[in-house]
Amino acid sequence: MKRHPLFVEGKLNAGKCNDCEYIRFPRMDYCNKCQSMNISDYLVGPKGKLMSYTISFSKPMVGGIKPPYPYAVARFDTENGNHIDVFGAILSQEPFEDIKINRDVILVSDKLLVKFKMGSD
Amino acid sequence: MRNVAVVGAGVFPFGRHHDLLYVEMGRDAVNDAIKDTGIDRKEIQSCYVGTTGGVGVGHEIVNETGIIGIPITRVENACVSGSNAFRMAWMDVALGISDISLVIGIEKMKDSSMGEAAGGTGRFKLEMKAMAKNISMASFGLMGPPGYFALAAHRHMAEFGTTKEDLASVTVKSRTNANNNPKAEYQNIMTVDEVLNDKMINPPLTRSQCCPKTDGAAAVIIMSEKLAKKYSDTPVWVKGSAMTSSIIMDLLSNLSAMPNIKSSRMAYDMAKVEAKDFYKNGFVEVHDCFSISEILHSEDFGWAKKGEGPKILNEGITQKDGDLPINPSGGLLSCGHPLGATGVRQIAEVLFQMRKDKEVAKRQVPDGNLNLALTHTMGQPMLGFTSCVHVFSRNL
Ligand SMILES: [Zn+2]
Repeated sequence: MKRHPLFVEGKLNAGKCNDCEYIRFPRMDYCNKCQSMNISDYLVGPKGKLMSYTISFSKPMVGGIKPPYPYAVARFDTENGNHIDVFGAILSQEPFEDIKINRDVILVSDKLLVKFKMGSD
Repeated sequence: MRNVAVVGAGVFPFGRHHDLLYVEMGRDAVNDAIKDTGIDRKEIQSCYVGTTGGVGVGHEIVNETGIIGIPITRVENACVSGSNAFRMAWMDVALGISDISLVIGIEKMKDSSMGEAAGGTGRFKLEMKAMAKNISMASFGLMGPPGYFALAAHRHMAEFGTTKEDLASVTVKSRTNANNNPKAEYQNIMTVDEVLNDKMINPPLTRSQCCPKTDGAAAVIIMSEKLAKKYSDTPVWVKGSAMTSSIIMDLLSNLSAMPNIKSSRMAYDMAKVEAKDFYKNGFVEVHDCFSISEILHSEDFGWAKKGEGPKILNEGITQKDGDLPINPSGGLLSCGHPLGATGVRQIAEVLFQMRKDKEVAKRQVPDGNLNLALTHTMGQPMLGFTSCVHVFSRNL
């Protein structure tokens, strides 16, 4: 299986199953719901909503982010009222007062990691 | 399939055992289990060893305990290793291949490669780094298990109004139970304030809301119905066993881990019980790796409605003398979590509780709750989850 890029045109490079319509990020070559291998590119974002966050006080294994840094899960609408939840780091300054659950976030493109910024632009 | 019963157990105290080898902890647990069972060691026909870091220790332990010539199988499945080893032994006896099987769960976390692994050294670090660069990790791999469960905790708070005091109360209950468990690593009583003022790991989880890395070992002996009835007046029957996995981290999407829901319902079906049957009838040992974990499990297993895990905790239902005691041993939060040992320790707790053994005299759950029991471990976070559930009964 080949590795697909995380981002395409500033959006999440998700995959959509042509058999059961399940949408999954990161994109893989099979469907996590029905095990079909019939998957198409499906772009998601860049605007989402912060579902939860925490703070990490230690260095991440990859990505070279300096601790402490906030880490989050954000929700992105897809289609037919569905959504996907995506994990990533939040770009913010201590004491991270801008970070509030249910607020808007926007994707920041990166090669290795998913990153968000608080706000909608 | 044949009926299978747990008949004997031995637990080596969980804690810091810097000066002990794996084999020294395991040997004692096995000898205690053999003595507890009342069998001749020659009668053991197979051995399954749940451990993540203990390479070859099964053979060492068996060698040192005078058990000769039997198949010895090491089972590695992260935090589920011990439960998985038990499940293999159960299959072995249920299928009629062995009549008596020994299950060992063992781990040294304090100063072994496994303990270092969490901090990331050597080859393991290399593998983890490669994995972190892999696509699956790109979406959820930056942090370890505490960070992941911290996200679940904050979401539970936002969605259901759960408070940090609710979370801390899980640890308070855990320590209260462990205060009566001389084999738990942390036996000190704690208050909600003390838990909240402990060192912050990943907000909102403080240190005492995260299970410690611990050294420990446990062993249980299981046998066929015919032999169980010969050797014991108080066998504990395995009524259900299930293990499932997922490949995505679904815990945040609806604050449920699908493998926990699937494994529990499969085990319930096999045991012909429902979630409500545990109330005023049973007790459970679940994988409380973090304070929020126990709350999520109580909801996923069907003992509380979604969002009401804190409610049954605050009402005292999950206390040792409540309608549904959860983790009377003190669980992972206080016993500690030597990965391979945990699942086997839980099953030893079930056996000791159900036959009202002196081992659990100070933390005995009420008579009315001794009919049904459940054990649960979950592991492999960051690669989805694996969840293993067993249901036990005093009645065949
Ligand atoms: Zn599909």
